[in-house]
Amino acid sequence: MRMLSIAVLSALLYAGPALAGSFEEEYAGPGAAALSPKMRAFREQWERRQDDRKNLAESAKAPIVFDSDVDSALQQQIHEDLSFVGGLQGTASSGLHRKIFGEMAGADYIQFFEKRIKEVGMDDCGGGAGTVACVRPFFFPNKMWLTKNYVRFNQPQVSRVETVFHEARHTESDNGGWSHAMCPTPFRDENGQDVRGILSGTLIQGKAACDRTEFGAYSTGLVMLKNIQKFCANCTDKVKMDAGIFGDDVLKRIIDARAKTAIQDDLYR
Amino acid sequence: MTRAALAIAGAAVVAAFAWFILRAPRAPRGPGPVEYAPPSMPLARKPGARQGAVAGGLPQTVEPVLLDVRALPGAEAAAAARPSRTSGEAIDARRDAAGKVAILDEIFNSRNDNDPRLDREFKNLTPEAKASLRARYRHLPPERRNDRGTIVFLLANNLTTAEDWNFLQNVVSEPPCLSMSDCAKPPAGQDPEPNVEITLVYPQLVALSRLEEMLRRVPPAEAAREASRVIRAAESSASPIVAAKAAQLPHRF
Repeated sequence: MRMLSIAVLSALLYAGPALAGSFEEEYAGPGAAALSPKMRAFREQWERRQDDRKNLAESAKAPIVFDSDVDSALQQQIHEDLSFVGGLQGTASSGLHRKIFGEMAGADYIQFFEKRIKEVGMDDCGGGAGTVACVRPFFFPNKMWLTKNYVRFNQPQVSRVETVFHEARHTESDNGGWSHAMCPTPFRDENGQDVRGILSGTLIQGKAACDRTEFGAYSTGLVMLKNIQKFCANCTDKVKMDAGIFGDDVLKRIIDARAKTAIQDDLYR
Repeated sequence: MTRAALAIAGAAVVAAFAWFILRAPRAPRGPGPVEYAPPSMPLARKPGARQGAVAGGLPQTVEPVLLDVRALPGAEAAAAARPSRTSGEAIDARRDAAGKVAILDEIFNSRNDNDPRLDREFKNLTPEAKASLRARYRHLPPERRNDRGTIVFLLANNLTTAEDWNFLQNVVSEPPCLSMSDCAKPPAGQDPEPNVEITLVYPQLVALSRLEEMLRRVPPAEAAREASRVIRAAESSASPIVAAKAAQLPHRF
């Protein structure tokens, strides 16, 4: 019995970092599979600042703490985007929306976000030229990193907002970070065509770029966007159109038939 | 002597004719130059106003530019197609067009897609305003995907002339933008995030989205035919997302 306990304990000790590494890889890119010196420095800095953060987080004036290297343009942009979300008013909300966010109302969105994200840093997220944001939920459960692309890219506003809410969902470490599911092989769209990366043309099949549940990070973004499209009472027609364009694209990434039906029943009927 | 008198008289007639031509009002032949910041609506740059993607650099503010809409393709045709107007009306139309573009640039600088002026100020656009918006589209760097898509959105809500439809067809036929930093170069590294991939084809998807909305409302036959032409062009797009979206739309009437 003692030997078994030791074996289990040893296995956990070995598997723990490996599992953490896989999440690290998923969110921060393959270069960060091991805790690099830079990440260790981040971690130490984060730990040193916990007391400061607790004090600041309690202050209504500064619910989100920015690292010192987050430039003012990025800070202003995230504030403006959250201000936009915080001002949204809906005439109704779907069932899935109520389960994930509450009502389609700015206050509920802000509560969802601020409950999960208390710090924002700046990083390249290990993702190359097209990455906008990332989280590392098992090391920094309430922190999001944004890349310079968040401001530099000329994206529609709902696209930026969906990105940060998608990442916020990933911080729920008690739900396994709602980690992405592997897209099936073969991975084909409704027309029977292989789903590929638009630019590289490489197949998405076998990559962690799908969701198996209606509560995952992609689904969370989809539910938010489709509710904005359908129920927002104070959105411009452009915002509602954008919410539809970006939301509909996510649907193809929901690979579980039951989850997809649940989303379609909730948002498309 | 008689010959000299005739020559002098002829020269006088030619001079009088030239004087008449030069003084004739220009309005019926097309509007004059449009400056983006008319005196009645100065381009106020808010502190900290910013603008998005500029190739390889940090966000920059939109600068007002001087455009001569007479030089724009279609502006002459649009002017010729409508009844001639007084110079006062033409000046008003130019001022209105410049005002629309100034409002749009303010919205671009704010990066606020929920500015209610997008719904309020761009209804029933005049030919001059549409020509100015098309010019603004061409003047924007291709990496400004959201700004370009916003112009497509506004113009697609005002589809009345062949020029409008041709613009939409040109938009869906554009070569794919390969990267948010430089449309001509593919990005290094892995595929961008899904939202970024969609943003790369955003102007084209806006055009198709507006057509889809229009077709849902059963448009007049002529508009449906034009929409069909644009959708067929989109089906030939080099972008798989655009081609796939177009293939999903009804386009045979």
